[in-house]
Amino acid sequence: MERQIEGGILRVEVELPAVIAVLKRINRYRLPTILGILEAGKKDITEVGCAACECAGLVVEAMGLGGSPTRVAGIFQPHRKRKVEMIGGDAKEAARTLVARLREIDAL
Amino acid sequence: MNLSDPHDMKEILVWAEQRDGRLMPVALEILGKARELACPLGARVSAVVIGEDCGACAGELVAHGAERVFIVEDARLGLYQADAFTAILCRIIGETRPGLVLLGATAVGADLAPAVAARLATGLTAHCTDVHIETIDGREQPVMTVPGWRGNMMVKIVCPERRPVMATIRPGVMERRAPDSSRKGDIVALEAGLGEGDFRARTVEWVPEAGEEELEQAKIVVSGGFGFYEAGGIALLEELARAAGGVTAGSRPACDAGWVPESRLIGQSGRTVSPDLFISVGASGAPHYTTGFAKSKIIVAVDRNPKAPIFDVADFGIAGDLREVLPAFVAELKREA
Repeated sequence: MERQIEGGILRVEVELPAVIAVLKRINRYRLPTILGILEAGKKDITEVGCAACECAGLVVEAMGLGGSPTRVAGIFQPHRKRKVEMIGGDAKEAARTLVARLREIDAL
Repeated sequence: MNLSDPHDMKEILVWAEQRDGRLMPVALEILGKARELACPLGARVSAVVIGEDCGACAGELVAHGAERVFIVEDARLGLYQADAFTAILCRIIGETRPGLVLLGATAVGADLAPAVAARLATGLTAHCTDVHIETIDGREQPVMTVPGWRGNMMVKIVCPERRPVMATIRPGVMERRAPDSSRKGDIVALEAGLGEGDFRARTVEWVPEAGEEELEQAKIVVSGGFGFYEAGGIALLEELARAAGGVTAGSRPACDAGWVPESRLIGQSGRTVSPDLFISVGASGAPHYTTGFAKSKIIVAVDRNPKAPIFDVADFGIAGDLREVLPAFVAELKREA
């Protein structure tokens, strides 16, 4: 497998069975065919339920919001507003003023 | 201290990611944060480095505020090995009992942190933009901040019952402190103590991609939104970046359209940068985009729409036709520069 990380790729080998998480770009999904949609209507759906999860060694209480050790303590609005200095004039003037202002404050 | 367990926050542990013996910048950023949190708590800051030949990192970590550095070297750990790193970090946490464990939210950190948290049955807050100590429900505790609702709101997360509190911190959001080479610290070499079972998934090769400068380290970032395309597309963006001495990036629509690679996406679902100068062109300024550069020192916005929200978060703004403003901007940057 190839795992994308910053600045490159890690090649990873694993013996099956394994759980593999993939990126969105691994493939493009195909559009369902009419025949496929009709077939889907006839398929049996098996509900596994919580009991089967417990058989597999999972603890139901440990799952979902109730089982989470973290919780939301509050929300607030980020303060991102700045006092903008709008630079007017035609494109050439505006660009000249902007670059001059940026050089003035050592941003360039 | 107002915590139920008096030893609760006496130790803060930082996992310092390195590659080929060189620390990732985020390791030093979070170390600075750990130092800041530790002082009022009277806590000790320890760092863990895991790798094949990484002992040389210890000095840099001490200079950046680690009072103790655990070095775990093993010939099998030259590349990130998920199971082995998890086992080692869990063991060190078990022995040192930190109240707070911080990791960089790199691709590797985002893999390692949940594995460790699950094994220790504790809580993890991922991709935080801040961690501070605050009294909540009558208890002084670490409070993590993450952006939510597409960046419109910030969410405070706590982990009241379990220890250690764990968090991954986005690269580029914490300010790195100046190193102090006079600092002293204990350097502790530990055995990896690994068995065959610690290599179920085995990383066999590292393939670097060329030309990917570290976006978070750039002093100047030039970022394009959907609107810049009509004005000249990626070529003009690159020309502007070159003229300004910066690197290119983009907003979600620009990435989705394929003009800017996903690795250069700025915002909540991408990278966070805080350069000296951030120049946004042709992006209206949706919160999930602006959250990715809000901490930049100076923000310049150029957009066609004078009412675009991007101007609320900028220091300097030009509202105008990008097809005219951008070439003029490039020409002006090249002049006398």
